[in-house]
Amino acid sequence: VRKLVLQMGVSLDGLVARPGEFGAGGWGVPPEDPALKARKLDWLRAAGLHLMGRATYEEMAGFWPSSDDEYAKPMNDLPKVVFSKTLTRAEWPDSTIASGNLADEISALKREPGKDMIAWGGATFAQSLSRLRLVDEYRLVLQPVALGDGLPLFAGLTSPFVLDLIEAKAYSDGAVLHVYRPAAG
Amino acid sequence: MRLTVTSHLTLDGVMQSNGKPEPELNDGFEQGGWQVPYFDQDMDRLTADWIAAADAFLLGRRTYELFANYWSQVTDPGDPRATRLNALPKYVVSTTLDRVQWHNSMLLQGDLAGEVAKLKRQLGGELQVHGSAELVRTLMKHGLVDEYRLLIHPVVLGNGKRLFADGTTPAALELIDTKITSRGVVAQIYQPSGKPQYLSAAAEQEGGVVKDSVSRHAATRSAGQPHQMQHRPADRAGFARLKPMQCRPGLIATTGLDVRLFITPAIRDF
Repeated sequence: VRKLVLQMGVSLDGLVARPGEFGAGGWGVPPEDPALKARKLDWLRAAGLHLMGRATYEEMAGFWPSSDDEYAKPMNDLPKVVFSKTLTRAEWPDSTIASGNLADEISALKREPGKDMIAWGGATFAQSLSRLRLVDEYRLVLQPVALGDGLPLFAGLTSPFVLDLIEAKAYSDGAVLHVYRPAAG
Repeated sequence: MRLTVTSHLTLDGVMQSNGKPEPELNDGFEQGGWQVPYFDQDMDRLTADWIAAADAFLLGRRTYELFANYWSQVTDPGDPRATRLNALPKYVVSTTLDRVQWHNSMLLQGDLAGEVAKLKRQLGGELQVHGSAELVRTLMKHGLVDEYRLLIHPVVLGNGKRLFADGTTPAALELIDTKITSRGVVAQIYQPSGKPQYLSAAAEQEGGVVKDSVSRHAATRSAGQPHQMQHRPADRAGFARLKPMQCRPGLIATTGLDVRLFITPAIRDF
């Protein structure tokens, strides 16, 4: 069974999205440390599938195909699954729309052979994954900023859960990478 | 005085009732004591050394009452927390209390921001805030916090009062130091670095934000803000035996910036 990794930037006040903005660039945080970028690229190249909610999919599909950034190649080359009950067309190459029950869809994907899957959010999709306990690993980049207003990484949980810290690492841009896996039991 | 904020947080940002259940508060929170499983030797050393560096405390009403009830009963002269907390001045922020009885406690009344600013001007050393989330947000709003010491615990509660609740004044911070305890708590030390400077679409096209961002960080460096904690021996001692992390060599100031790096992927930074 392959892993589902949730990888997101998070503000110090626990938010993953600022209203009307997308990602750390809209948060007023410094340029990304090249060492962190290298780490994320390694992860990207080791992944087998991208998972996204509808809004994030549409934003990324409108951005990566014309980007010449290093991130663009693995973002464009790997197959994607977009989770949406309303979307009828997904034109970013190698995209599939999953419109069924989220837990069932994810379980089926986990049972397929292949390399690990990275879920990129957005907030609503990430909240659902945590609520349904579908995340096998969290890779959170804690940015040195409090936003004050936005959408939280965790919301609507029906019970608490405990994690094991696998790794924490500070980067020169002030970001701190936290890697967690759900604790056994 | 330098004003420092120490806060025990869950990964979802909850700070309340970390040490024990507090049913007397009648606030519906049933997960009190969530921090206890993570209290190990590393945490003990780290937090005891922080408290040892205090010269006075600034507390909200709830935290004051919790501390007063507990620490005033701890009379062991060998307890480094109790001796400091019982002996040192404690400034208490409350609109409901009319007197405070714990030794060396004083009520701060009236214009809170003005009173705290006056304390900071008049006295030397370190003024420590523990807990007191509402007070912390007020201090943030008025730019009175000089350092945040956040202890992020590997647990997600799903409810409870958060330190940085909705409506927190937006703040850019500079990461000063980071350590991990043996039970997976990550201590992150920050100092304020002004307001976030958001990358707008217009500024992106003009390249203006890159310049602003670089100058902001360059200004921080040249203003002589400490990159490390050598000026605070107690802090360094507290960190000495903890597992070190790679930490801030000041790369932003010393390496050439790949401008493209900020303009494109940062917008789509995941």
